[in-house]
Amino acid sequence: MMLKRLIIKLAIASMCGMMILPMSANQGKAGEPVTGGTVVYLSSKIPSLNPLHSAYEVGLVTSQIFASLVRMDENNEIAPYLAESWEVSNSGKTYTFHLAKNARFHDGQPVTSEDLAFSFDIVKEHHRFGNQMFGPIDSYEFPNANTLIVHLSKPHGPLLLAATTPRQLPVMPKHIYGSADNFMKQDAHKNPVGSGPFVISDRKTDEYVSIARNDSHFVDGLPYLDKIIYQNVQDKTAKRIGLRKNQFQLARTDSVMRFSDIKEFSKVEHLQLTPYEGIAGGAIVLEFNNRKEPLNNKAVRQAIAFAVDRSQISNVLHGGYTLPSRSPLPATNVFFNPKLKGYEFNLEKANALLEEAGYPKKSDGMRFELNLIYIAQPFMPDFNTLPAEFLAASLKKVGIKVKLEPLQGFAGWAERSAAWDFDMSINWPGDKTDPAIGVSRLYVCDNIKNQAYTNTSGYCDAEVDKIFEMAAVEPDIEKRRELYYQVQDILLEEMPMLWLFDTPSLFFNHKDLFFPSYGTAENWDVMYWKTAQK
Amino acid sequence: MMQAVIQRVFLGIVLILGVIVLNFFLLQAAPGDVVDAMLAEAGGGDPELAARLRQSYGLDQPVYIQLIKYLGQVCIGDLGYSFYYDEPVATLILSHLPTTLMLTLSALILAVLFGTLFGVYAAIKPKGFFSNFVTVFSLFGYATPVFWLGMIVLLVFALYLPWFPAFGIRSIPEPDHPFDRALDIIHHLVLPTFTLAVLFLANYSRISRASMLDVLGADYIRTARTKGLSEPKVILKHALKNASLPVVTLAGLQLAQVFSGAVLVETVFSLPGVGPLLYESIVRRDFPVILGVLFGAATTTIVANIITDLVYKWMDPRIQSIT
Amino acid sequence: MTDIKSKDQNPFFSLEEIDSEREVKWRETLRLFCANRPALFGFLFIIVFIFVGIFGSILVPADPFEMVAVPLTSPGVGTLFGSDYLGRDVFVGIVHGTKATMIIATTATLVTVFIGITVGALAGYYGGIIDNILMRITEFFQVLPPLVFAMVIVAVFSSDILVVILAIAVTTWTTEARLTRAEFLKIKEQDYVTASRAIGDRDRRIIARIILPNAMPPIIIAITLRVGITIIYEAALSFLGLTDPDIITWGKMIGQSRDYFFDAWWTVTFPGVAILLIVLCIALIGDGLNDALNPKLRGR
Repeated sequence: MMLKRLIIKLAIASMCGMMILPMSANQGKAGEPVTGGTVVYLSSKIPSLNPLHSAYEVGLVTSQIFASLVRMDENNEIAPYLAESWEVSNSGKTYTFHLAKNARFHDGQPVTSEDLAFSFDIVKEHHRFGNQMFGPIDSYEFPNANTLIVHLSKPHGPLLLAATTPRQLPVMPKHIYGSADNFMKQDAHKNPVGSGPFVISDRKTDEYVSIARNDSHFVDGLPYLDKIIYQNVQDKTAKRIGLRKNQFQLARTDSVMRFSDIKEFSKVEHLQLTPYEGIAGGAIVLEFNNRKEPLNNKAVRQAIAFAVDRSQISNVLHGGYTLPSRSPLPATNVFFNPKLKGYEFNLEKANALLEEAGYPKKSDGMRFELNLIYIAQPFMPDFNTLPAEFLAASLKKVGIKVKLEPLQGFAGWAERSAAWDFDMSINWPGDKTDPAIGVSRLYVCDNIKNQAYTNTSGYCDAEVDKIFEMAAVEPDIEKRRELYYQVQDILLEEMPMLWLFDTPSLFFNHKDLFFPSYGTAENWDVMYWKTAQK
Repeated sequence: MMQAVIQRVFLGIVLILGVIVLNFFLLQAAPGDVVDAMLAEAGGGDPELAARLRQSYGLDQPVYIQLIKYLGQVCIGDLGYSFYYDEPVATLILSHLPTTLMLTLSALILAVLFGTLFGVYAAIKPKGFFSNFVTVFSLFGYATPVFWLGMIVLLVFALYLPWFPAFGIRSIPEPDHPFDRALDIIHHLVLPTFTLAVLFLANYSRISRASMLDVLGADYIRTARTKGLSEPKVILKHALKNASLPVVTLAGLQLAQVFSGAVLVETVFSLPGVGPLLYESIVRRDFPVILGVLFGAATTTIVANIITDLVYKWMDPRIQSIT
Repeated sequence: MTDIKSKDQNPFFSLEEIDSEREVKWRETLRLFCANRPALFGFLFIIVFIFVGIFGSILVPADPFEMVAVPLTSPGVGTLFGSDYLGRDVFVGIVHGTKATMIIATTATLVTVFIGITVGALAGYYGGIIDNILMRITEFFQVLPPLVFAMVIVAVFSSDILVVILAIAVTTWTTEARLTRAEFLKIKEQDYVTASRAIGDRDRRIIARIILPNAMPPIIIAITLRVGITIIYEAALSFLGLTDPDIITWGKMIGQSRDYFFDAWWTVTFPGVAILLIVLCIALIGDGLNDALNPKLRGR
């Protein structure tokens, strides 16, 4: 899910022609970078070192092993990395990349244009967003070993931004990865060879992965750290004990604790809470199946929105670390209309709407029953079990009986979602920062597909389709904004789904550790200790 | 004797095949597959990519062909390939097995030794403080949920009294000297082993006490006593051997579960054992791993049963077979 | 009808005699049981639990799913045992959870025992090929790790409460089957069984009316202990997230609150203590029955 957000964010940035990410505020300018030291990151499972693996934590490791073509600097601008420089033709259909001459893979072989073209092709075929990122790539030219010319079938704005992180474009040596019949299934993934700042030093499956500085890295002076250890701990109590005892210097909060406890942990002296700028902007939604009675009735959907006190979820149950959503776009989005307030909590209105819609309370005090699917504990209960239970308790008060159907893991949920076999579903459709990619796909008619994270709610409205289409191709940002304001109003009125709360991503890091939280925020080669460690 | 063992082994193989086939079909009936799980984990993908992945994992073929292929592989000793771990299943299980075996076997050995000792002692001296202690202890051992005890032990002995590590099987980085490395692992195993052993121990002390009391009341013991044999001799030579049959039965049953019997303790103490591997593979529909672990567990059970039978025959030749 | 006649014509002894003999034995058992103070204590305590289970929702009419307090309030005046992460009252949860916990435990035990005794009785009574087949089936289920197999079943067939009960039963009946079979093997060689077979009693009658009652003592002890084990087993499944979301049980309370154990010990400790207490009582009763049914062990 993280991955999707990243891509979308990047894509938007290019389309809008402006950077939407605020500068990170927490950069410790006081301490000069110290070279050396070790950081232990509190990780989840790292099942594989295949750079295209689906697990989020795998990308955190491979982003250090592989280098990408370009990267985001601290001003959130595209900066050279493997590509020293590049040119884009006026038509926008030809890209020329000049690779750094001193760039070498960990086995000593130089990074060539052949390797780059190979990597584009592999990503296009096997990456989960390969098609969206590099689909238009048509053909290559190889003028010399360090230069690659890429021809596109049509102009494709997101290309350069998609190449800013090894999570999306790991540049891989063709001589190592190219020989396998099936890229996804080969021995090379055990001991990956890239050209990034770190190399794998040691690994025990389901215990830890340890990476060490690549002394001959082609970027001078980087990385700062000697070693990063990704240690897998499953139990939350154990994780917290470790964090408190300074056995980890970096951890994502949602994998360690529940939102409601962050405040308590922030008091631990050596820890600092840092928002992860790179992946802000998601939201959890309650998806309605718009095909089914009684949810095909707008009044019922609105009544549900009125019946749920979402500020209770965010402010009390989440300890204030999430925000009640006010619109189909999260409040961090450039196209978010700040005048919107969203649905207030109003049981009377909810009851009145339900009465009006023709669903009176029966003798048991209930009007009708709806099922609700979500992913069962222990998977991220703050985003699944907790809102689900809260919704059930809230809706009971207005006479809607909710049958909770927790599903074991992603597989069970994804199947039900894809089969449209639900009344209500708790969904985390990833980033919504760019409406053209992140939002429209959930509402437009031609994306009603039997696949999770498409328009599974089955909402379809010709006018909404039209506005989304116009907005996607509109170059003028003000006109775009107008269109999106319009669509926000319509969707808010129609309520095809209830936008529950916006989700931030927060990290705990040691207060002496500089944690780069800008750009794609996985450039840990520039992470450093502000004071020398023992 | 030999023939009996061979027959058991043969039956065992049939059983294992049955286990695999049953679970193969059961798992196929579960909603969603590994491709669903992986695409959802990454937050997307399209129907075309899903189809391509299914094809490359062989999941697009009819179930019976998948089953035949799988059985064919197993016959030549190949347990398949984990889609999620990008690793052969056998390698994967073998890397998780040492942790589990160290935990379960040490807990089992401790429990059998001390449990029997406690039980026998309590039976010989039925009216003392110690006997009462054994009774109460075994009652609590029976009544405590193991994961609950584990959580409390974790909080008390890893946080409030920070004597032991809260997670993992080793420190990272590991100490250099092999001796220190062994000590380090033992240090990590103390709490989980203790938790598991306490519950096992309660069982053994309970059973050995009851069975010892039973035996001590029997005629042949009285005869032995009247023959003038010394009390220790009576107990050690005659009573103990007969009284330990139920202990052997229980130990056999638990030996059968060493492979995957510690899911809960391994989960609470974040140990990289077979239990959590299996649990997560079920959630993730990583079928080859699930089937591989069940294969291992079934094999262990059958071997443990055969061993139990042999021990039984050695201890009491009159017995034909208990399993 | 013919059965009754044949019984009357029994030349050796009448079944009434056995029945009355058995009645005397049961009365003696009862007396011994009542004389066992810990067992009696356990029994009385269980009565209290049953009382809470039946009348709990009347005595404490609050809805256990309702959010009544600030989340994670520590135990005190408003919420006796504190509140959980949604602000639900832990005390109310425990009171209401009593019923579900006990119903699940007894239903699952009954199913377990029913399968176990049926298989064991048939295998033990008929022997031969039937015994062989049934024992192989038993072995088949014994080979599967119980908790894991239950997990697979719940994953496949949803976490509905009936599925959970079935999963518990399907994975644990083998113990009862073996025990019953062993008892049947022992008893079927007894004179009165041979006699009743000689006078032409039907198998069903011999199994149900003659052997089974005599095999009951060890089976009753096993069943008693099984109830306790089932409670813990259900809690373990809940701990792993395999539980019906609409029903509140103590195990589920622990499972759901385990993330909060670090800061809010009461969310996990009180349901755990409840489980501990009830299973302890069951164990005491089991011990009491054991002593009462095997009088020669008295005085240990």
